[in-house]
Amino acid sequence: MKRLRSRQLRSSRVMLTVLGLMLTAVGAAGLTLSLDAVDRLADPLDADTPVWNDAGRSLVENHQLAWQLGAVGVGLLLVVIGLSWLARQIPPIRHHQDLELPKGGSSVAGTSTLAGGAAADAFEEDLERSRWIERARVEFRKDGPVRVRLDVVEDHPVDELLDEVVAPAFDRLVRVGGIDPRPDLAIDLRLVTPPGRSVA
Amino acid sequence: MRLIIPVLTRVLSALASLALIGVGSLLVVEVVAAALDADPVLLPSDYADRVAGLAWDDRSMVTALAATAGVGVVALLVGMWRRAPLTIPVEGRSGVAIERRGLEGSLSRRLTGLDGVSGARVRAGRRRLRVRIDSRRRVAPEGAHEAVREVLDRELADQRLDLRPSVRLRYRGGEL
Repeated sequence: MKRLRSRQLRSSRVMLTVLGLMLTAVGAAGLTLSLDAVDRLADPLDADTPVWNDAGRSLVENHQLAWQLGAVGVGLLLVVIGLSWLARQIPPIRHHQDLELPKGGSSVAGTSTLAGGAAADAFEEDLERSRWIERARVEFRKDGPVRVRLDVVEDHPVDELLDEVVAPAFDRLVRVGGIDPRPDLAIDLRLVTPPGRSVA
Repeated sequence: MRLIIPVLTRVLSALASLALIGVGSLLVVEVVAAALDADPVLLPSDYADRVAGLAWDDRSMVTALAATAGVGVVALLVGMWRRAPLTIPVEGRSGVAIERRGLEGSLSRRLTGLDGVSGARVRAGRRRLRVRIDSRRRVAPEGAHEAVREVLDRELADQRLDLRPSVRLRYRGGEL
């Protein structure tokens, strides 16, 4: 679904901005020393001494354990951030959450479950019966609205489509499947050319 | 830029995340090795001497810092570049949105079918809809502007989209 991809891209942009700011700041600060724009930024950062100078060495050696623990912590943090960021590059995978149905006063022990994939298939099939819908993709996700992506013919008003096709089909699914509470819908519409119309 | 920026975002994100994993792993491995008084595991054994003798104005240092700043600026630009939305919300319908590219293609197809219009380029943003109409005629096709407006108004009303259209008409003799 497009809005999941949109969320992934947004988080990547935030990460790139933060990383970009840090790299630019480090690079610019170092270049001011390298190009003699400033003589020193702090004792360990002095343009007249080597990069790894006595002040830097004594700063690390005086608090060696703290520096080592800090460096390991930062390293582990970078690995975790990198792995989580990399995992977000994977396109969203359709994954259905099964629905546990209410007992509704039944005295029979146990629980009844409606497979999310089966509910999605039934909803898709019902939606695709409409001549205005070319293709339907439905996903029952955990803790969120039911995600629906519809390829709809472009010359049909959205209100009619939602009120006369989507809402009744969802009502049928909720009633027949006994789904309670009724989940919300998040619908992405993709306008497509009606079949048989010349695109040229 | 509409195609390049999302691709660049993905490519840079993948590279940057791999770089973070690499730098983080290197840091952990080398600090643990140093704490155990062992030789460096991944870095050259004489890296401490090399760094100790490195001056700020050394060419390799300047190159590394310039590269760091350059990569930072590129990441910053890509991260902050204003991107077209993937979906546009439908007015008065919570949770319903229309995909931008489908909408642009649909409007473009409809406008191209109008009399005197040889091509149409539609760009939808969060609030605006920019339309460029091309005509092969030497004089501005009469009524084309109004016809385009009419189609846009009808389509935006049908799809319940709150977008402000702006139309430019290019023909062989000039532009309106």
